Amino acid sequence: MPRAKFQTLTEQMFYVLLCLRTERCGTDILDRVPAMTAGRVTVGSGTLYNLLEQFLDQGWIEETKVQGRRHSYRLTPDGEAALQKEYGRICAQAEDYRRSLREEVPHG
Amino acid sequence: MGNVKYRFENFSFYDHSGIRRHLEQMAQKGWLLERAGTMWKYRAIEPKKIAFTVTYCAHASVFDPKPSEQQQQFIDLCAHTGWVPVKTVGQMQIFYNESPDAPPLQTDPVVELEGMHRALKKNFLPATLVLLLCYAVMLYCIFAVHSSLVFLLTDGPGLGAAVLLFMAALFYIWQLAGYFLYRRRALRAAEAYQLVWGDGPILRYLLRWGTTVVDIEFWDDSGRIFGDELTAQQRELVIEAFSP
Repeated sequence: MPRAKFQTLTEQMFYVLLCLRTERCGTDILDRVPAMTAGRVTVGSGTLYNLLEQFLDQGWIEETKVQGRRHSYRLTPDGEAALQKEYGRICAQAEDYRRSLREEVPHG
Repeated sequence: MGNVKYRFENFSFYDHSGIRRHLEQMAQKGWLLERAGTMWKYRAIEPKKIAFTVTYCAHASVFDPKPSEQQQQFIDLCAHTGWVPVKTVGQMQIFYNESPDAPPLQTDPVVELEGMHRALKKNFLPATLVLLLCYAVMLYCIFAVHSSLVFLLTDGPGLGAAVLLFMAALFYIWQLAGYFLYRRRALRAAEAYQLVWGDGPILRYLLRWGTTVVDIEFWDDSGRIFGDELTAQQRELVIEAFSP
C-alpha cells in the first residue's frame, strides 16, 4: 500500500526535522544527521533538498536567514507538532514491544 | 585519438538509471562527460571507476543563462558531499563523484520520485502535451484540406507530412506512456525499497539502435570526420549498441 504523504515520517524526515529545532542550513543538516546517529542514518544531498522543499510547502519549516548562498531554516509550530506526533508513535511502538515481552509466556 | 568527442545520446528524459550506467561505462573506457545538451561532449581521461547520478531540479530551466538561486543551492548541497555537476541544459542534472566511497545523492526513493515528478510537471509533461496538441491540429488540417482519403493518398507531399506527423506524435505518446508506466512501477518498488530501471530493455535497445544510426562522432584534433572507415572504438560502440 502506498505510503500516505507525511502520515508517518521516515527516519530521514524525522532526523531532518529534529535537526531543525535549532536554526541550521542545509550543509549543517548533512553533517549533523550522521553525527546524531553515530553514522546509522545519512541523508543524501538530493533527498535533503527535496525534503526541505516539501517541508517548506507543508509549512513545517521556515526560512530564517539568507547569507549569500547559505539558507537557514527552523521548525515552525506545525513542524514541532508533527515531530511530537511521530515521537509519540515511536514511543507507543516501543511500549507495545515491552508489553509484549512482559506478557510472553516462557517456553518449556 | 582526440581528447574530446561528441556523441548524440538518445535516452528517454526520465531514464536516469540508463544514463547513469552508460556514463559509468564511458568513464571506465576513458571518457568523462563534460557537457550534456543536444550533443554530449566527452573528455578523454585515464579509464577509471567514477560514480554518476542523474537527478531533476524543478527550479532549473533551459532559458536560464546561469543556474538559478535555488538550483545553485542544490548544487552547493551536492558539492558538500563531493558531487561535481556536469554542465547540463534544463532540469536534468548530472553529477559525478570520483571518490570510491561516494555517498549516494538520493537516499529515499519515494522522495526522489516525487522530486522528479515535480520537475517534469513544470516542463517535460506540459511541453509534450502541447506538442501533441499541435500535431493533432496539424493532422486535422491535413485531413480537412483533403476531401477524401483517396485524394490524400494521391497527394504525395500531403501524405508524407501526415505520415511524418503521425510518427512524431506516436513517438511522444510512447514517451509519455513510458514515463507514466515507469512512474507507476517505480513508486511501487520504491515503497518496497527496491530500485527500478528507467526504460525497459526493449525500449532502451530500440533507442540505442536509433542512436547508432545517427552515431556521428567528431574528433577534435585527429582530423577524423564521419564517412571515414570506422575506428576500432567506433566498431566497439556499434557492437555494444547492437548487443542485447
